[in-house]
Amino acid sequence: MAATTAAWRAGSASGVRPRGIFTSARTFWLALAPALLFYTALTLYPMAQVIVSGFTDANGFTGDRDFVGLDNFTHMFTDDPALLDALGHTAVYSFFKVAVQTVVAFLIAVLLNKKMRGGNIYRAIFFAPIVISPVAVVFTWSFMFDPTNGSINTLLSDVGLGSLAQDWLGDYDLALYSVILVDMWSGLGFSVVIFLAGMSTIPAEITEAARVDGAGPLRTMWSITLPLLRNTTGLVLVLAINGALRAFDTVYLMTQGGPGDSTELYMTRLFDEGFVRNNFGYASSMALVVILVLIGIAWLQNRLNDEQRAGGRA
Amino acid sequence: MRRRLRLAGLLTLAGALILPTGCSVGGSAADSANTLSFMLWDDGGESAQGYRDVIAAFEAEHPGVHVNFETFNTNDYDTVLKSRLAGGAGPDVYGFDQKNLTDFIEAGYTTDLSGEPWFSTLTADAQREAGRNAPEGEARYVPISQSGNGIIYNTQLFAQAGITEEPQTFDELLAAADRLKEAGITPFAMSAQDNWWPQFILYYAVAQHVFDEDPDFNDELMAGQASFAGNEGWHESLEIYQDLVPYFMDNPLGTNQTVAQSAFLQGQAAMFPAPWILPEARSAGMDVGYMNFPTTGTPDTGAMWGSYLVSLGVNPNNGKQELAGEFIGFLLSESQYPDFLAKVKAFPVTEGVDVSAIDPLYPDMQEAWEGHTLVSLLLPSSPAIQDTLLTQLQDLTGDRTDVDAVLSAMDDTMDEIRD
Amino acid sequence: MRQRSRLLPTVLRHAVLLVLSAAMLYPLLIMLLTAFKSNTEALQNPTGLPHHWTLGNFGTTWREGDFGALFVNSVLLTVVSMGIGTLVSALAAYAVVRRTDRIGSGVYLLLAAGIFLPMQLALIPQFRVVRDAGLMNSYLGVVLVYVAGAIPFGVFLMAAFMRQVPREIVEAATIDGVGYFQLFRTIFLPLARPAIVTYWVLHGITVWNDYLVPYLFLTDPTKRTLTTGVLYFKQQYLADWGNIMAGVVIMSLPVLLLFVLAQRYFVRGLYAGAVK
Repeated sequence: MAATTAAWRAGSASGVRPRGIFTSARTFWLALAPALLFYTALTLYPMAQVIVSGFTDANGFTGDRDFVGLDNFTHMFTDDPALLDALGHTAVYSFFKVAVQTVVAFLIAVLLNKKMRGGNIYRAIFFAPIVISPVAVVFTWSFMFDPTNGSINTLLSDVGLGSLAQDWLGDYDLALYSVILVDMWSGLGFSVVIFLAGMSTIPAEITEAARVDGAGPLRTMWSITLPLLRNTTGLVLVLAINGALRAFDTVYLMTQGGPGDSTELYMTRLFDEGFVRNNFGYASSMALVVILVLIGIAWLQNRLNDEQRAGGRA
Repeated sequence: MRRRLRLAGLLTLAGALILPTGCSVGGSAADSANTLSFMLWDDGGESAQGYRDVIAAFEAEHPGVHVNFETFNTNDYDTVLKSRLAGGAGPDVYGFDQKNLTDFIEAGYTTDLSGEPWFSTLTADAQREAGRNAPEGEARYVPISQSGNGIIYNTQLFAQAGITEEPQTFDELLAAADRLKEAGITPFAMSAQDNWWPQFILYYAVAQHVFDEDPDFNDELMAGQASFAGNEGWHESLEIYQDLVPYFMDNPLGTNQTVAQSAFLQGQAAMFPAPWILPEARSAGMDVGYMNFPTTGTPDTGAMWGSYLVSLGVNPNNGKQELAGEFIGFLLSESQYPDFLAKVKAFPVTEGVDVSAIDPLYPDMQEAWEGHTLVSLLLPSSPAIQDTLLTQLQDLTGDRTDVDAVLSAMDDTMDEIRD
Repeated sequence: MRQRSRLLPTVLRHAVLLVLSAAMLYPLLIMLLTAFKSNTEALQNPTGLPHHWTLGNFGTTWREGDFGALFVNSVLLTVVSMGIGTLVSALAAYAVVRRTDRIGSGVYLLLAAGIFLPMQLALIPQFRVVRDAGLMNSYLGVVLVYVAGAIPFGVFLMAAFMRQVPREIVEAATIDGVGYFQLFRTIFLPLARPAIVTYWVLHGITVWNDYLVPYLFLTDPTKRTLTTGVLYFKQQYLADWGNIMAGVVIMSLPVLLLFVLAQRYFVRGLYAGAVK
């Protein structure tokens, strides 16, 4: 850092001035260098290798690998029923994680975004699950979900609702929703945090002015808060979609896709193909597809943002 | 704010400086030519200690040599091993899962061990096993402990249910299970949430129904000359599995293996279909007996399921084959092996080891296996086929599919493998 | 009149929050209570308060799992990785925010796209890179991997906050002769404080809880981290929920406490962003 500062001092002493808001190319690249170095060596380069593998039949080891063109991709969409099932599960999962969780998170953020007695405690309680490791979360919920001795079923029978007791992780139709519940519990705080951060940038004067003008809380929320939170909401949604499409840990640690295939998600299938069945090339093609989808969604959100900004100005 | 930032920055820098120096201390030991890296999964209990004691003795006898022993839980073990091997920094000696045999041999992660001095001390069966899938005359991995498989049962619970004689046929087994159920006892400590656990019911049947008739079934499968659906033995085995599901724990699909194990150790379930529970059962002070797992109408079947508990492979890519070979030989040597077996509670793969010292039940177990051929590899050596079977077994347990569908799914996977 | 119309929303708000909080808290409570029960009691009395409070589990877990050393390892790795990551990301975010042409936004997109990369499969090529650099079994290797993984989210968050700096300020400062990096240090970095706090919380947790990278890159078992310890521990104490939960509590409690304490700064940081 000292070297770069010295260089910069030398540069400005010699009369080289950045023009306006644009900086000289040198300082731009200088500031960027460390990040680019890390990123290229340890993210881009490995990822490039994975992407290339997507077009081969590599088995993950230094065995023979032949280019198979688009075979992997056609196989994905035409010949892999397990993957299609997993896609269906991922869609359900995404709906809950994206739509339901975001709405609930927004409402909770609204409730928390005020000075109130015990506000700190409430905030801490909602944030707490984020900091707990997925390993811990899974162990705890597995214990709670046990059909015979678990906390949930025991609690239900204790309060006389024993008939509602279920085989939470063993019932084919229920298992996916149990997993979704666990993920929503642990991930809610994440969305709440981002909403609160966004809300904190809304100057209090605006909401005060609205209240003085006689707008009720709902009206304020709808006409003032929400529009101002457009970017934040967009961020929350994109991150939620990202998380949903790439969900992996909970299923991997808790059900391994079971019972049967009923909790298999896209990423767990990818992992299974790549690390268990040694179809590294095929798994790589799956990775490429999800990357393209996510980037597409992000680009779309960016586009919508720009349009809003352009439209809003008018 | 600036002060805090500076502090954070200083801490970071300090950390960044300490890290490399801290590592070089450990690093130099690890990089020395006299370090052997050894990876294994951990079964819990005392078995890891058994390995550690052997390692300590080995290091004592070979000053300057250090064995770096790493263990991982079963779920992650395969991933870590494969990643390390594929990344070019695999361990020198590692626990080998049979299903990876073909892939590992092809990828060059194995060494031929048939020329090692200790190889000839292995039993004929173990030697044959070591040569599986290997080029002619070679042995690419070596089993180091064996377990015949059968049922460890709680003698008190059996008495409670009025069972006086060990079941010798499948019908007797069902009758005993009925008795246990009537007495309010869970017959089998078996559940299906952890999909690898139900294998410990199915394979007993498969060994006796498929491999008695046709010991080369797997080779025929790989060559495309046979199919699962066309095999009578597989049909029968899956039906036997279905017959036994009602005697598992309640809500089997939602109950994980930990809970099942706990149920047995707490005296709620009577039968545990794998002998490796013995160390824990002894710690829990239980009164246990052993019996073979009958799946036919007669106790005199030829084949029965026996597994090689742990097999080791040697990775040639680090150039440590000699040291690795020495280590394995040391483990199998007379001075170490019996104590080792006593701690891991397993049977020897070499001749002439007295098993009564390992556990009072061991002589009985060995006797029970006399006259039977132990079959260990019940599926073709490919990870995909086991993956399919395990998922299908869960479906079968949940009554979501039938035997024919399971077999045809397995045949579909075989088609993919053969390509 | 005004008092009454103020009371109902407040009561309602508290009621809703109370119910939701109870639901959120329940699993944590179970986790905590089970850690104080013996395994037998954990199975027989899964929901209630322990009949016999026992500290034995914690003792066993700490000793057998060698949690003291694991704890230190985790702290070291997390703090150093996040520290370097923050610095590197902040610089990159600054660079990208200052340069608004095609190259600037191009680089930004390149870096931010990292958020979307599923890196599971890339572990093996990453592994090769680290190995080729001779950094196997070293904390430095692990830190490098963590830093690389932390950059996309860091750049993303900090750029979002840094963009809020008005052009006029930057132009004025430049005309005054304030240099590039000086501007970074004096204006942009402080303004990105809420982002940095959020970043440490959200991404620091990911690093703290990660186990796969230490598994793969550290061959010395004494270098293991807390999470790998708990996973390994589950294998050791297969059937003992009391012990497992004690391990879970040990793993989570410090982070939780830190978070609760840091909450004040966290909240202040967030609100500080509102007061420009």
